[in-house]
Amino acid sequence: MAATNGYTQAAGPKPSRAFRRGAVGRKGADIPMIAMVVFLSAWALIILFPFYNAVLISFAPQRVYIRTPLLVYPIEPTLDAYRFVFKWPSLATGLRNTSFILVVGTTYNVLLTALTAYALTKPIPGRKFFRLMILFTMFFGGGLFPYYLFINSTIHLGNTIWAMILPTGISIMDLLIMQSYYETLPEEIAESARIDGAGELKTLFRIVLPMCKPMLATITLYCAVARWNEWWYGMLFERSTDNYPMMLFLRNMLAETRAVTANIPISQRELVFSKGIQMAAIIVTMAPIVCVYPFLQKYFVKGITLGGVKG
Amino acid sequence: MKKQGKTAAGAGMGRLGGICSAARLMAMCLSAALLLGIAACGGGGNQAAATTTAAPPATSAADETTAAPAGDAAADETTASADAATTAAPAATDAATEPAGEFAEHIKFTMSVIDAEKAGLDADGNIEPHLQWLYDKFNIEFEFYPLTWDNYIDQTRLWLASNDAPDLIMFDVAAVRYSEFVQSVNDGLLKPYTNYEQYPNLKAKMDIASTGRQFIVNGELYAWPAFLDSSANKFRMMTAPYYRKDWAQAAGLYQADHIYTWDEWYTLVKTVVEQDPAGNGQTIGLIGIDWSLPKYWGPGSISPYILQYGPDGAGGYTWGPLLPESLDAIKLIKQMYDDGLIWSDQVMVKAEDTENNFDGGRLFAVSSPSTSPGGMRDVFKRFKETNPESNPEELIDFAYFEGPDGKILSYETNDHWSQEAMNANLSDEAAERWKTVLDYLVSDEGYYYIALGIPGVDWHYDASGEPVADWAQNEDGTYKAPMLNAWPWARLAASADNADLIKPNMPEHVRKLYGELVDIVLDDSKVRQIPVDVDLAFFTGEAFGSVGTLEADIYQEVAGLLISNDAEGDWNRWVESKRPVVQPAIDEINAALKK
Repeated sequence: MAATNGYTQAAGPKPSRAFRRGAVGRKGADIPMIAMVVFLSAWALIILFPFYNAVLISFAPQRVYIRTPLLVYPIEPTLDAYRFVFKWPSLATGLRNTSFILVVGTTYNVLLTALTAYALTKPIPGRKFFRLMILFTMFFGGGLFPYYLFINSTIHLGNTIWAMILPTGISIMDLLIMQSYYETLPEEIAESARIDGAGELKTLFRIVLPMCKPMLATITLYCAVARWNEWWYGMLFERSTDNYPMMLFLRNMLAETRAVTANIPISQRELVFSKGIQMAAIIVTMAPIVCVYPFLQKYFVKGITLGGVKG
Repeated sequence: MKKQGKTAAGAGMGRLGGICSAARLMAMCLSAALLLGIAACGGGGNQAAATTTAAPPATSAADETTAAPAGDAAADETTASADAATTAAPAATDAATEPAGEFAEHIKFTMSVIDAEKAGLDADGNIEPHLQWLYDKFNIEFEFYPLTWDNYIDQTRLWLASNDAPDLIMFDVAAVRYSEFVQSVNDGLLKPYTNYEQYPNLKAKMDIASTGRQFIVNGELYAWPAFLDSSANKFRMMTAPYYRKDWAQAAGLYQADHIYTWDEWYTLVKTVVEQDPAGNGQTIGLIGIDWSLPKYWGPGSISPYILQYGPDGAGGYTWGPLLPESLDAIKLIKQMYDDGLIWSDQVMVKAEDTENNFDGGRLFAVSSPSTSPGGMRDVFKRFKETNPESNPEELIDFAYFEGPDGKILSYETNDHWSQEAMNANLSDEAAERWKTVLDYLVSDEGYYYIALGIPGVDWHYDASGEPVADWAQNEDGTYKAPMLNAWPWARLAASADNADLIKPNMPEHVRKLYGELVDIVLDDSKVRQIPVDVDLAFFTGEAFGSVGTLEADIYQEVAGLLISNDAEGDWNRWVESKRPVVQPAIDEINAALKK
């Protein structure tokens, strides 16, 4: 039988008419396919509309928003809210702190995770014990007060930017994924490195890690996103707003609703409104991640499956 | 790396056995740790409620003065009386701004405040001259610890429990947390304002305090009450909503004297909703934010204690929802909702829904039980910003409405809104300095310093002794306030809301309107005043402390009843389900307070 659409009929049941006819737009368009496209498009619109609405609100003046809360297209767009956000001293401070936490923290996380996971694949004394202890921390914690006391009074990290970096050295999930991935690598390569006189560290950094680039990229991405979103430890340990990460400023602003402008005497207030400022702040803090994510999406997806326990 | 060597079955069984043993061992260790923890944390017996000393008879500072201008706040009177006060106390100073010898040592205080990132800073992030003046005067400095409204309770608890609290702690004790405050005192976490009586202005304020005296524990004052500035309305909550005057006029039901009977108000709101001035069915009658719905829209007149514990009519106390009249209040709320007076989406209300809908021309009335001159001014100003072509004076009015009992409902408020406590670790010298600063801030001059700015620079006394603002004027004729962010720290000493009446930016029509509303709320023939039961409001008890008033649960339940098909039945069932929860608290209260 002649091939159609590049399909060569082999032994077996004939593919459905829908499959043979192909995509919508061909003569005799497929109803189920059309319905699926329409449904998914509507679903995508429903998901995307709040973001779109947030963008519109960020560009709208107060009087327009109050009269028409559900904006569908820009009305009298203004940059007042964005000017307020970018002039806001806390934004620069927050961005600086978050950038530092991102770079240093991610490097610290990945390094620690890689080293620990590698050690746990080796037949070191007490390996099972250490692994159980690490797993234990996934389910049980010491409680908030002891943790606060430990960070603040014992190791004196309180009110420093390091309180947001050092205590969260390893994500157990990332560790397990990394460890599982190591175990899928052929032992012979490491053995040959040892035979050539390489120590464990050299083997790890020169042989093993280069083979783990996809995994490292995934772990790095997860850690970077977590660091970018950091606010909890900032709220807990920072007494100076100079050390606040950007997300904590944003969170405080959203939590206070109108606090950004409410406490300014009304005679002094600029003509911006709190909702617009909130939306503008959200857009500004979300933008870097949104820009980077399309290029890294495959790593997110891959990360879900990578390191899964193999047979 | 991949494992080699062992047989699968043998390795598996061995590994499984090992894991089981390790798991058992870990479980035993964990159980032992938990038991040890329970043993360590338990015991110590019941925590007895801290006793408070009997309050000394309140004396009127006015009796001691001859020079105080009539009608002024107590703060004015204390300044005159300070001249006759003891000489042993550090003087409440109106004197030179240079640090005197007693202020030779520079002291830095850490202080927890809301909006710490803005506190005391101007638009460029520099310390405001207003705050710098205070720093120079007393040779002090503040370092602000940040709090937000949604974390300040937990954050303060964490700091106190870990001995990491700032020098000056914004305690903000709500009535149900009074037992926490007392516990903090008993645990030695707070430093008393020892010998505050030696500071004439502090003494004068405390002498006329009512609920503020609850922070005297075991004979010592452990938190300074940040007194509300309610000199005009005598701590009577002004429950006048603001509403669209033009819509009321169009309905032919407008009352110019700011008082509506219940029937008039009910008919007015219903008529406005039916006439739909907003168009296309968008007109909303009333929106209630949490507490305002069961309390201030009429049902509160039937059951004023619906959100709290209250008298049971037999000399004792009970939980408000258990009172029979609370069911009547619920029926009224439901009727109002079914008649279309209350917003159909009330169940999902958010705080900004009131202002946004009102300013957007869709809402008829907004409940604002904390009416202050500045708040009233903001209503008009905000409406103008949203509707630049409008004249808000012609469109907006404030009015009281009588409840079904024929009286305007008004609750007596606490005489303070927050408290400032001192960390027990604060040195005696620093504590004395803080009391000196505080004594100034609550003095006559200090009041105007908080409200108007630096004395002699931003304001001055005229020939008759009245303060006059000397604010710079903008090109558009409005006045530029000399301080932008004094609120976060200054209000923890004392609020100066009524000083808005003398600020140059206060429109004359707002001054007049405020005065008219105050006159009404002070008229006992028109008002049903619900007094603060101080003993109950600051009751400490184990059960009461753990149960509370369940206020948040009540709001949620009331909101849900609006769309219920059997509001009465649902309410009764819900109340009965809560009875065993609140009964221990009721029993505890009655055991202590029942007459």
